[in-house]
Amino acid sequence: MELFLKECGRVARSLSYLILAAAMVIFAWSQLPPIFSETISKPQPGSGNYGIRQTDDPEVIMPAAIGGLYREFKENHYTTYPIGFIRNVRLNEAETAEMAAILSELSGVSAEKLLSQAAEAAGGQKDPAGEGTVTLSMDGGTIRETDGGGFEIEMDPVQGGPPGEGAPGTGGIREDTLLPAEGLGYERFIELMDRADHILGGGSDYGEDSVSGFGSVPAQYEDALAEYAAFVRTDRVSGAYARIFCDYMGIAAALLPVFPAVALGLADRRARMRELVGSRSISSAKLTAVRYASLVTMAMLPILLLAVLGTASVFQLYAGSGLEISPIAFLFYVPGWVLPTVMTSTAVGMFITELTGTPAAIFVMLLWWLADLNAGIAQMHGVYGGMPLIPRHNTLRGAQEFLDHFGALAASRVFYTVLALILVCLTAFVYEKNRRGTGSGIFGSAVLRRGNGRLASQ
Amino acid sequence: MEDMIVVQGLSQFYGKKQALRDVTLTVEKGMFGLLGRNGAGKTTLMRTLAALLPVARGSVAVCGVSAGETGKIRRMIGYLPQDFSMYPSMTVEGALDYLGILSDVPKETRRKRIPELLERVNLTEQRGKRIKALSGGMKRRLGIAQALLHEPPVLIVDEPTAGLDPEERVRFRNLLCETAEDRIVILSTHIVGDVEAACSNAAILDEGRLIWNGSVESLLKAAEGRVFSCTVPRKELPLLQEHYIVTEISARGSESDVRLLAPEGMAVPAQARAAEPSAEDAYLYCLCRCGGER
Repeated sequence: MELFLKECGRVARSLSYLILAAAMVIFAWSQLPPIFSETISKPQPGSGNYGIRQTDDPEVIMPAAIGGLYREFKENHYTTYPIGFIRNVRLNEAETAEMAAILSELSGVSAEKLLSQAAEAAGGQKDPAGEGTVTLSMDGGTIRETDGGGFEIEMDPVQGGPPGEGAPGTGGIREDTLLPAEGLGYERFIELMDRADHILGGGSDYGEDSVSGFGSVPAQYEDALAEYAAFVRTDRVSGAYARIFCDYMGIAAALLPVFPAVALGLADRRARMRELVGSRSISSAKLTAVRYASLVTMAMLPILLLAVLGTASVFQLYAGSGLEISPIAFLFYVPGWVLPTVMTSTAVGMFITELTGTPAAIFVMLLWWLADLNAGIAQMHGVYGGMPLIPRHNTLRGAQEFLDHFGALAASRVFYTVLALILVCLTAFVYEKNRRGTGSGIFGSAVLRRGNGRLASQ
Repeated sequence: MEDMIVVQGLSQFYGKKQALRDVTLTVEKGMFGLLGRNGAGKTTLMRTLAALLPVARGSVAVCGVSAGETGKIRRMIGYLPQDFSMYPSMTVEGALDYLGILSDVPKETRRKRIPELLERVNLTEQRGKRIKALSGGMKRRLGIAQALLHEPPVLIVDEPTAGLDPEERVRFRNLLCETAEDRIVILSTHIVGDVEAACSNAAILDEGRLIWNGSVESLLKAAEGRVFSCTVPRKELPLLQEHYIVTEISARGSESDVRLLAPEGMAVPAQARAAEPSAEDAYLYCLCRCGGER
């Protein structure tokens, strides 16, 4: 315990830790206040707008996704997020032809017709409202600027025209909407969409894992009421805020703890103290474990303090509402959700630093962080499966969806906890090897000893 | 528990380079000097004794414990490396406390022993100072204090006086002598004067080989009759240096007083007189006899 407290003190006094703590606070301060000022109230019947809900109904997903792809095809301007940052893609002639073939199979409209439409659009969109005005086409209608500087919304007629002209499930083309071909199966639809994603270089909304995001439908009063009930009974109000708190803090927790882990890992070398520490009687396993525990504890400290503030904010926000608010929801969510992420980031930092004697772990974590964040960017409202380092739940709502995926989330958290502990064991092993050779890392100084062929270090 | 270190047939390698060649050595209680040129293998031997390098070939036993039992060896050894420092922002007292914890010294013992050690190394007034504010000599003394913190029966100090001013060097040597009263102290150095002043026994390493081992008196005795002094015109100096190992030159007008070594069987300059060998003469004579001066 004495050593643990000493190590915590060393961490707390390091510049890298002060930067970590400040960055976490700044990150939370910049992201969370708007969310923690938003209240969820009981839906009233007849109010008309109950928000959006996700559905996995192919009848919803297919037309929306095909329509979206068609619009981008016509403009030859696709938006993707391949490594977490926006990328605008323009296809060449061959790729456009390939995309036309995909859209043709999706809609039943010939590729030639689709290509001529695209060529027509490229030649300059004819504006029926007159030159100089702005026309914006979107799902279900068009917004057009009027002469007086106002805007006019023109809704599309209800779908149901003759086959081949836009009836749902029969394929066809209309002004801005391409409909699924007759007999198009959902599996084939997914395959074709995934192929389109590959042509775009990945990271688009059409990939196999992302296309379900097109399944947004207006929520009904009953949906909204059920969600509110889950918010009150299951989340006990603060649970919803704890989830979104973890969603944001998970982003910071996946990257920032690697900095003090690397800095402290290199501190013995920088201070020329490796031999002094290495010649003491403490075992490598105990020293590594205590140092790891202190780094994780100190990285969690600002998150826990922010969680306490978050709980207080929720109590303040719902003061007088009569709702029962859980005082321990944050303390339940934060260790379960964010701790494994902190443990992993710290363990990667310690292990790679001990192995290489360099700050390479920062670059490794940075790449992992970007890749993980990008993988979840299309589904920020709920990324639990696929072992994400940063699980996402970027909404105050969705308690039931969260519960539905709780098993996948728990599996990912257990996986990263075990992975982190394995890395800590490996760190202790490498430290002992280095300590017996007093090298600057296995790769830095290991040499083959000629005497008996074993590894030694200089 | 045997109060001695026994090294038998020890060989160590760094890749293709052999750092120690079949070294056999016994070190008993008291101050023991380990001499040799830079790169002779002194630090490799020290690190092996401190369980910071595994034994490649041969055997090492510290107070009856094999070097392979690293946990036990680390408990018995106090080690002051050649190139060391401590966390710069820690205080003197804080650094000792931290290293005491790493050596499993109980809190009560540390509370009692740290002020005693600071008193002994004359750092009581600096106990609250940060490490980065200490001078080189103070850091070396603090190094001794940290090495003695867990009261080890063996203290290994590697080149501790390098870079210290003469006054600090003498103080440091005396400190080591006091420490050696009840334990084995191995002082590795290339400063022969330190060994002459502080050690009763010594060994000389050259290119990884142990070329001499015994008492300092016997080292001096081995050089008796082989050290000469003479006064020669300065222009004759190059010729003299070509044939003899010149250990000292003092310029005096157009002439120079010269101290030289003449290995057995070599003719001595006519004007040379036999001189009392110093430890430095004896050390150089030993190196010359076993491999030639460089």
